[in-house]
Amino acid sequence: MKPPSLLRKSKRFLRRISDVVPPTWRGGLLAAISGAALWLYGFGHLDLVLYILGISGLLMLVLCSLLTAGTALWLHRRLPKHGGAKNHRIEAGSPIPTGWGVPSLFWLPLVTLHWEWITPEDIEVRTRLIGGVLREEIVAQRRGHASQVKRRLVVEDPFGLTRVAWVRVDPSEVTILPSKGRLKDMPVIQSKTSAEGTPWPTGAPEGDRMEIRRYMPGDSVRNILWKTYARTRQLNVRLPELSIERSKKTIAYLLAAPGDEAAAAAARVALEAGVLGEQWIFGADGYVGTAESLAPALEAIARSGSVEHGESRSGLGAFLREVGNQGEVHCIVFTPPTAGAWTEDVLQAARDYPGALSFVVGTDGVWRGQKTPWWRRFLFAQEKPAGIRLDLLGALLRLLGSAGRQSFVIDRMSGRSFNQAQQQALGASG
Amino acid sequence: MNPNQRNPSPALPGVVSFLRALVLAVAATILCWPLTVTSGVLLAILGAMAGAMAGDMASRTSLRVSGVLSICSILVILGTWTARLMVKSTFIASALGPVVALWMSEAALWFVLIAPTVFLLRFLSARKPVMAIFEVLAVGTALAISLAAHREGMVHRPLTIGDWAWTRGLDPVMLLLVLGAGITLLLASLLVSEDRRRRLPLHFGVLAALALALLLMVRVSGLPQPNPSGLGLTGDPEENKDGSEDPSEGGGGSSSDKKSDEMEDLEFKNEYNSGGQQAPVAVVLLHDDYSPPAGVYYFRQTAFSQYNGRRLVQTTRDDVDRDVVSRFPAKPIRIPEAPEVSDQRMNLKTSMGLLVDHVRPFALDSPAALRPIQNPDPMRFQRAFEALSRVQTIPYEKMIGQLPGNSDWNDEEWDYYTDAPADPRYGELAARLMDLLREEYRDDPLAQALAIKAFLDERGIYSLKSKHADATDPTASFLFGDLTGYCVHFAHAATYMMRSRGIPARVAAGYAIAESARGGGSTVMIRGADAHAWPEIYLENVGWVVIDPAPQQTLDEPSGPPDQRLQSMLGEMMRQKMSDEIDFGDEQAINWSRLWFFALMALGAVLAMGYGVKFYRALVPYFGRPLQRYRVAYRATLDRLAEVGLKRHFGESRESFAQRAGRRAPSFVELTQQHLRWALGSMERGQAGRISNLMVSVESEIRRSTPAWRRVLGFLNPFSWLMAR
Repeated sequence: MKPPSLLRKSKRFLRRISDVVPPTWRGGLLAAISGAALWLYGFGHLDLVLYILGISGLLMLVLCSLLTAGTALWLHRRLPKHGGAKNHRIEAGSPIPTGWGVPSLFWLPLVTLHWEWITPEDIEVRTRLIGGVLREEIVAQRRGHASQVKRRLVVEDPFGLTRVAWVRVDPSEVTILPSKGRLKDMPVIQSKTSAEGTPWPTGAPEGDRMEIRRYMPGDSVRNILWKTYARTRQLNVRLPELSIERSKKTIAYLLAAPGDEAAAAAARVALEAGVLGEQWIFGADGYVGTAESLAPALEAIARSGSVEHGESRSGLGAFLREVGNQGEVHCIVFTPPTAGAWTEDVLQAARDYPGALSFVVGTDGVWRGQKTPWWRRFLFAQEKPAGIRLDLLGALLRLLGSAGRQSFVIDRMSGRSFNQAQQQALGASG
Repeated sequence: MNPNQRNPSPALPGVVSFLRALVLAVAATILCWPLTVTSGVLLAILGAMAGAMAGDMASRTSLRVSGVLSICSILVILGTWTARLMVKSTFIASALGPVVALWMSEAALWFVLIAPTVFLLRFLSARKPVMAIFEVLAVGTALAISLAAHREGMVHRPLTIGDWAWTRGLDPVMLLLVLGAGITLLLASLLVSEDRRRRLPLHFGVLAALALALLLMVRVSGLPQPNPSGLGLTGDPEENKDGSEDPSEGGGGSSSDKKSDEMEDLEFKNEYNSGGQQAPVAVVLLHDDYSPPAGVYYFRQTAFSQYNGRRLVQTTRDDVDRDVVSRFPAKPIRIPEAPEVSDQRMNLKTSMGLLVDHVRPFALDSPAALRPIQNPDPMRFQRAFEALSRVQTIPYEKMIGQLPGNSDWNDEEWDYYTDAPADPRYGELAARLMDLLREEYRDDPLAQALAIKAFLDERGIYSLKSKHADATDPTASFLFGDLTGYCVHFAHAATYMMRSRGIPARVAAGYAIAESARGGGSTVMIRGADAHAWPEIYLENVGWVVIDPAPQQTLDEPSGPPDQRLQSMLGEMMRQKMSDEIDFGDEQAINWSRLWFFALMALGAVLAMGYGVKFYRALVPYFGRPLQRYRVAYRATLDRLAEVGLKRHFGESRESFAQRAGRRAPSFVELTQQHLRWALGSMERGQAGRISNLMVSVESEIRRSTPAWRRVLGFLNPFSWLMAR
């Protein structure tokens, strides 16, 4: 972890100071303008309007400062030291009431209260007024894990002139799982966990064999037995004999890197839907050890969200060395959609692994990069569109392909999976 | 990124956005009203509204600030060019007619000036919270500029406001203060960022109370006062008060300690600050018509007669300058050594209303008596008093032949008033000037003084900037140097030369106002810029006579004539509320009749409010919404029960109370049940009528079970509803 720079330290120091000094920048500016108006025009030129305006501005600032500071002090003392340890297991994207609340201060003029979560990060806090108490409801933006909740409570006036803030720490275990989006099951993964024969998504885990069966939506018309149809008016399809059998052991690993939420979601769905088979071992960056059951595996997914992305080393190599030598096991690696510092390590580990290994790339939508007209670039801030650019995804897939391993793309936004052929059709892989 | 999260689309402007737009439109209207024609004003309003609302919407998009700035600049340039083209092009003017072309040009000009500016302001304010201050600043500036005419004490301006108020008997000052308070609330509305709109009335209620308190405070503490003049005439008299001295003593008996404290007042300065003080500092009502022989009203506040080796300062002696009053009168005081009424001087009463604190009173020369009068308006006037002056009526030419000084003076006093610097040049110059006089006037003190004045009039150059302050003898530096200085230099130079001729002389300070400034009325408005110092000589049987040099050359802009409207308005304000029939001992007595009036008014207002709430709560069940009727009918019944002394105790449930009250009004039991049923949602809509019937039943049951006197008392109690629980 890099030590904080001088600039960051100064910012943090200034923020700490501004948290306890009620006037904000806006308040300071108002005071300066009001003072100047009062002094130069109110007294200097006997401007009665600016005289009243100047005094009012200063009085407002003083009154708001007193009310804000007083309320903050009162609340700071009134709230219990620790709000009771509560464990929260939540899913990103869904609003969850935490049960935490503070007096609403609805009756108190010129004072408003709100707060935010500092730890874990990327939590949107909403409040609801219930029985004179502001009740907290949170919406996590991404997965993560924290052993304490740090809240920054802010008491300010409705004009933005004064603000007092303080941080409150409550020991709570918060586990945030990634949102599954539209992912439900993952036939592609299921197919990759089968041991032999032609993979078929609808096959039972214990294996299946079929030659002729009733037509089902999605079957190719080429397989329909038209002669039988002419005779019996029943649509039957002929299929090759299938032998579908799951491998007895699968290992899976989640790589933590920027933009890995979709990959984490895919890993979560794979674990919860049981597509990894009966026996599996799961590992993730940021999680010490391996998980062989669902609960610790989900915790591993959540914890991987708290990994510092600056680290270039991936734990995949160590994971494979530890659990990959237990015979012929299939390894599935969930990767983010863009190449990064992790790529070299992971490719080397994939090359060194003797067994079957597939990459599952999780995306949140794919878009084709198009050149934006100059006037649009000039007028509008270029918002990063959701998802990943097709060429970047293609570059990653080519890179992963260079290790001689198969890659599959799973899109969380649409819930669709893309195999090699579909990727080629999209132009994502070469 | 969370897949469930969606980019917020630009929301349509809401109520707050519309109100903000309205505020900006008001500011734009006020700003452009005096600058353009109707079409310009209308399009400016439209532009402000459109700009504000579009700015609000645009702030929620991904528009860049640089892009917005560029577009707004281009729009302003293009629009201004188009607007100019409309009036410059003969084709457009001939096709549409010059009037229409002008209207269109003004409309286009103001639209393209206001709309992009407001758009930019709103856009930046919505994007960056700190930028909202600049929006406030812009609106505040626009509004303040539109009312700026009242600055420097010109409280009757802008005339649209001043005349409107004055013709309705309102005080324009109060109106301006109220406008200031209103603008405060308006500007606060631009800053507000409260999400919960239901709390906005609470916040603004507190702000309104704050503004009201501020107005009351101003009423009590008074209005801001102009900066003190360079001569030190104005200031807080309390600061100069010597604690050991009895303030009721009035003039004459001032201690030497106090006088030495004030010696610094008339200092020579390289740059004299007249303060550009057009602001009125006092109003004087003349009780009789009087034209001063010099054509100038001299209001003397103090005199500098003691030579301290460098300049003249206020005396430290008790036996001289006894006509100078050092304290405001707390009771009628007679000024010693005032000249007698004769064919040279007459009595003239004047009423003084001081708009600004002064260190001591002043009066037309020569004052004979002072007495306090009731302050006609404590918010405006700091102090009011009446002066009886023995004003000079004898023309200057008729004073020729009068002897200098007073025959009653002893040698010490003579020496005192003729003490001058040892520098022989004063005497030599004065002697040379006397040579210019005709033989028969060479020994006449008045003629000699006038000769000195004539020399300074002709050769002196009036300038507020001079370079004599650092000289050992600033007066010599002035008189024998460039002869450039201001009144203090001229007064000292003249006094020294007069004294060198053996004429008792001193420098007086106060205010000098040309008679023409009176405008024929009886009011003389004194402004800060009228502060003046002048020389005086003492003539036997006449007293102190002003000999004021008036240099013909000046390097500074003369201050303009006083505003006649303001002068007469202030005079009216002073005259309206002033009463001659006052008891001098009652200046600070409480006005009980007024106090009673206000107390009764307040009581009436409170009672009216109580009855208003009471009757509203009693009647609202008959016209309230059906869905609310169960609640308001139940409340009205509780009020009625409370009126006759039946109220729910703390901790008592509604049902228990219903049982208890049911002994006197049995229908109340069912009404309570119905109310609870409705409140818990198990009642159908059509049963609202049943509630009303029950309410009427309870009413008649109460009437039957309660004595008439109890009911009357309950009815008369305006706050019986406060007891209902």
